Amino acid sequence: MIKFINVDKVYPNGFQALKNVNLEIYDGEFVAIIGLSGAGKSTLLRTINKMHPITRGELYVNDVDISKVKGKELRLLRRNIGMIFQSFNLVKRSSVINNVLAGRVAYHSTITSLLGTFPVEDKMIALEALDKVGILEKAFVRADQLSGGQQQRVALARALSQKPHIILADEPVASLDPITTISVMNDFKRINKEMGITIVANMHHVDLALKYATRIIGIREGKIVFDGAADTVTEEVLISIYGRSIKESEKLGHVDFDEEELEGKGSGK
Amino acid sequence: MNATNKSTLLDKIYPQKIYNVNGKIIKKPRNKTIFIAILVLIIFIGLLFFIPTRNITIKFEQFPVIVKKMFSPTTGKTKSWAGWFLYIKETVWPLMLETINMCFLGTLFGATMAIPFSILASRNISKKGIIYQPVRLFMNFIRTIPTYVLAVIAMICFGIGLLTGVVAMTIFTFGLLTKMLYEIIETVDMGPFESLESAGATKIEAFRYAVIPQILPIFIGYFIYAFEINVRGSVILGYVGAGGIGLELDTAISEGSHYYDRVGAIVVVIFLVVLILQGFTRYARRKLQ
Repeated sequence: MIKFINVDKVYPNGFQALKNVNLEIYDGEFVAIIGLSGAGKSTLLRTINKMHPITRGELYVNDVDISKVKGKELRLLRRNIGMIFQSFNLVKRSSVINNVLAGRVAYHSTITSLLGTFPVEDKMIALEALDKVGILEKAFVRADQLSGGQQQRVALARALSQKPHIILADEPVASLDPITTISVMNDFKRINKEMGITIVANMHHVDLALKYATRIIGIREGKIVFDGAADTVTEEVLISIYGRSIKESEKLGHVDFDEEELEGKGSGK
Repeated sequence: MNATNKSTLLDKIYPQKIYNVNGKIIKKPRNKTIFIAILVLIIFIGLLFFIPTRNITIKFEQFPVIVKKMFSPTTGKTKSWAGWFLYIKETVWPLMLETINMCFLGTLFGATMAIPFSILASRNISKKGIIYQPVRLFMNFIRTIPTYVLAVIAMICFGIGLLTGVVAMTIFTFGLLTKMLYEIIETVDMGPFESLESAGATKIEAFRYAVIPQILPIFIGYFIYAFEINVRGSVILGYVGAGGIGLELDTAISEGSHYYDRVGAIVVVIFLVVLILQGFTRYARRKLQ
């Protein structure tokens, strides 16, 4: 469970990104955070694994106050939280499997990690994670040889290889084409349903957020202005979050695809 | 801001390009590079006047004479072409191998030391000015010491010989590669580093997995480049007692001997070695792309 109690985040330059955030996210939820760019979505996400430390309040992840932990304890906590980025953040020159194995680094001592050798069990975990997202056959290909959608799947496999309880996704599909977007979102949904991993995702496309997430959190100027089930989001709610009606560019729109093509993409062929 | 559109002197000599797109005016900003180029040219011409020209007698005719002597073994110390090649085989080549050995060790030690220091000196990894500023200052100091002075100091400590050369080259390579490396580290994509940290890796682990794969090919290229520079530089180091080919060259060229045919033999060997190294550098870089 993730629990924010009166959380503020002020950046060193004085910008207040989060204002008195109170929030509880339960295990197994699929939460989408929506709001304008600059509203604090990325900050909110990054406070959960302390990539950005909070400046006031308490933030519990699985009953541990993350604002108080540091060093090894923090790294063990982060190990349980996978993270996906808009720009995939893969090492492009490295092979796919080495990118996925990066998710296992925190399971070993620094000395073992620096040598760069992983036990067979870890390699199996990595390969199984790749299989789960349907690109097992790309395991020994260099990451820069893959399409955007495939690269994001590698990132997803990297997160899965951490054996996480939570996956944080920062605009995971913002740089993908519509069809790839849907298949990657389907991967998220499957992981959420089958493995029970909590997913917290920042979403740019409102319609996509409403379709995939079970719960929507609307954030505006650092404050949470809406928190409720996806099917309770009305036009008025969206106006309260965005301060205006939704633009067409903030929707993915109707995507015409046939299931077979999607499957083809899904298995990375 | 500036409502009145008065045309200044600048507008006359260097007018701004103005585009009219459907009635909307857009001005291209002036290119400042040209001003900087003119300024540099003026400074350069000014500096030319400071070169003393009096009391210089130019003896260009000496140049071909010496080059000719370098390749005339019959009138020189080696007496014949056979002697010249024998000199290469029995003296120059073993010394060259010694020199290459010395340069390789110096480059290797220097490069090894450069790795931790370049990490400390790079803004994006060490993050804290209190760490990278002093490291940079120290590295600037190291680079300021002329290699010649490094060699003299090493000579005083270790005496004449290859060890002196290795020490001088280690310090020189350390200074050179640290700067080149930290500049490369500062240009890497930090995204993978962030993702490693978010997965619970320590900074060192994140560096190992996210940064090293990005910089390794460039680092190897720099390593070979530094090696090449060191082989060239070894000649100068030999003068101050670093051993190897440089010492032999010093003996051949010094006052009282002037064995230009031997000098010629040595220069040919150095030239060939550098040529081979360059070919190797190019090959390695292409392979590492």
